Amino acid sequence: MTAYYKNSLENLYHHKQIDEATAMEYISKEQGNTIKDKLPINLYTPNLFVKIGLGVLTYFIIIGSTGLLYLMLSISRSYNLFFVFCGMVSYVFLEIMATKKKHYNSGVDNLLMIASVAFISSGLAVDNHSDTLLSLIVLCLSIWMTIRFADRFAACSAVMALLAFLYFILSSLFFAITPFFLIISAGIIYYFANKKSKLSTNFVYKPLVKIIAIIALLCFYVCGNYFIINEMSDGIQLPTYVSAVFWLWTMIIPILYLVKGIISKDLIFIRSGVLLIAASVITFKYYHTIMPVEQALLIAGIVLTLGSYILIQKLKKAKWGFIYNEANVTANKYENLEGIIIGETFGHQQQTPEPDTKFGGGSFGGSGAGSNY
Amino acid sequence: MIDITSYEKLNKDDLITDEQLARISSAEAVRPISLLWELKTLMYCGILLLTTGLGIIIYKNIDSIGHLAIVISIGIAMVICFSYCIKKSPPFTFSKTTSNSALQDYILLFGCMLMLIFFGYLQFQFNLFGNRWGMATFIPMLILFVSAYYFDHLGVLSMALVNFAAWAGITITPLHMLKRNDFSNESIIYTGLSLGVLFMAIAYLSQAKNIKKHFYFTYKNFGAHLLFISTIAGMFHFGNVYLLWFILLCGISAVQYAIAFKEKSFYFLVITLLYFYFGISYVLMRLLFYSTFSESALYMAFLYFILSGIGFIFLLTRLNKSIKAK
Repeated sequence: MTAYYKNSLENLYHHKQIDEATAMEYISKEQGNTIKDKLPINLYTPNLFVKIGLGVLTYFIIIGSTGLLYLMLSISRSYNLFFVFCGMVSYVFLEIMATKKKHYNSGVDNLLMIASVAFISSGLAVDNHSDTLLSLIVLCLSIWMTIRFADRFAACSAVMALLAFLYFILSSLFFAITPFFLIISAGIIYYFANKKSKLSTNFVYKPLVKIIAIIALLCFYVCGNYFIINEMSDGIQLPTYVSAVFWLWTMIIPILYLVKGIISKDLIFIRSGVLLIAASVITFKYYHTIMPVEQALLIAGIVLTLGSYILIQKLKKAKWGFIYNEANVTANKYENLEGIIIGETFGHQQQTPEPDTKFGGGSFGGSGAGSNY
Repeated sequence: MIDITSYEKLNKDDLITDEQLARISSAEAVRPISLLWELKTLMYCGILLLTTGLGIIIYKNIDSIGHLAIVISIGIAMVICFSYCIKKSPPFTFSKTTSNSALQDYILLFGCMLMLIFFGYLQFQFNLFGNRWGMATFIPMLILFVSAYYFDHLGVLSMALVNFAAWAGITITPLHMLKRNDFSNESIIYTGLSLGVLFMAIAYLSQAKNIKKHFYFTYKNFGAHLLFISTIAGMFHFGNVYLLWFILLCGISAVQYAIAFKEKSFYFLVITLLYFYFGISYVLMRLLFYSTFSESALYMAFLYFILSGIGFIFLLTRLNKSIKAK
């Protein structure tokens, strides 16, 4: 089904595994290289930055071609046909790049894929003003792209489109039970994505299934998050017991994730748990003000800093199946990135207000540079 | 993540031996999971929240809390952070120190943040530097540079560079570089250019003279972006001599390209190509649409984007290959 040789995609997976095994010193570097030589990859996947460059250039080409086509055909009506046509052309080029040139995640194929889905779905659905139809078309196209090109982004978009489609159908029929239905759907998606099945030895789709599981896990929480429910219900006042249920959901699920992650040593659950705890705190802050923002920031900061400090100290030796080990990271690949992020976020915190801002709680002053002193 | 099923397949194909498979699966079963990045990220977020909260609290209550109390408590916390780092850090060397722990890095970061708040507050409340506003940015910047070099910290170096540029009058944090600067102001363009040259020179020197060699990337990154953005801004601003600026852009691109190729740096190669593409597209669009707006010019413009896009894609893939082959 894939546009690429099945072997290439499988070997890609094995190559990554071999890299991990050599990093862990389970197998020697030489053996790793000989194994890799026996598992050839016939795919064009350049370095990340080259990928971004190719993506930007492809974007320009798509814009230029769409504009040129538009001028040449001198269209005054039937935009939807034109859009569908553009989408088809993008798809044909995508096929050519994938099958002939073996582009896989090269930036070119990613952009063409997005362009063809966006053009075709907007062309087909824009006139009807139907969200249901739009999400259905995006769903079908994304599923096809996922299967055909083994693309992660398409897999994510398929899950989201499926949930959106269910939402649009259900919300017009039985509004009240929609969230529960969506939660159950996300749970079912997670269950099937996580189940040990034939897919666990299908190395072509395995990475995609993992991503689908993560997205489903996040949606499982989001579909019951109080803020989302409140926004979806369009200002209808929820009965107290219903909102209590969703508040409970908002507060408990992230903690359950975290606990489950710690018990079963699952990094995905740990990471999503921590992330969603932050989301829940923000949701809570949105509706209830217990204390001013700055105090909340201060307390959260102290808790986080102290908590991670204690954990770092405790986990220097392996404990409870976890470890904080700096020695293992011989060369920090991300140190430059880390530096840039710190410069970006901390660089401008300097508060040197100008002389006439000597009032408490003013709304201006600060934020440092930009102006000449 | 090690995935045993992959090794079972490799074992079936006789690429790894049974013993190796057994070793991997038994070792994986007991291997503790590393929380390195998770805990580092949490620590980072904690310090970010903490210092932001502290900054806002001081700012809001600037007229109600006792000033001396604030200054003294921030000062004490700052001194604690710095003295912890001085105590723990290995003696200064010009090469890269390897023994820094992440914890120490973050405590230094926290100390530097407190230092910035400290000086900002002193200037605001007690007018420490009088009306010499430059000094109020200059002193903290100096401390940042010293800390970055002494404790060998890339993040603090970035902060120092950002503050250095702020002292010179421009904003260089990546996400704000275009938004916050008024590039129609000539002095900003010239400042950007000279800072860019300066940073590139320091980058070159730090590598050639072996003074904190690994700071090379940070200097060069800021320097290259500043140079490119300033020349492109020059093209926009000096409308009648924009070709001169374009020639300057070509020169800078050529130099950057040669360096990137020599160092096999994909990152600098791509940004050089993209900035150059942007510049050349600007020149062509200007030539096309300068006199009047016509439909044929529009045709040409679209055609240009298609052809040039394809051309640059070929160039980029070709270069990618030749760098890899080197």
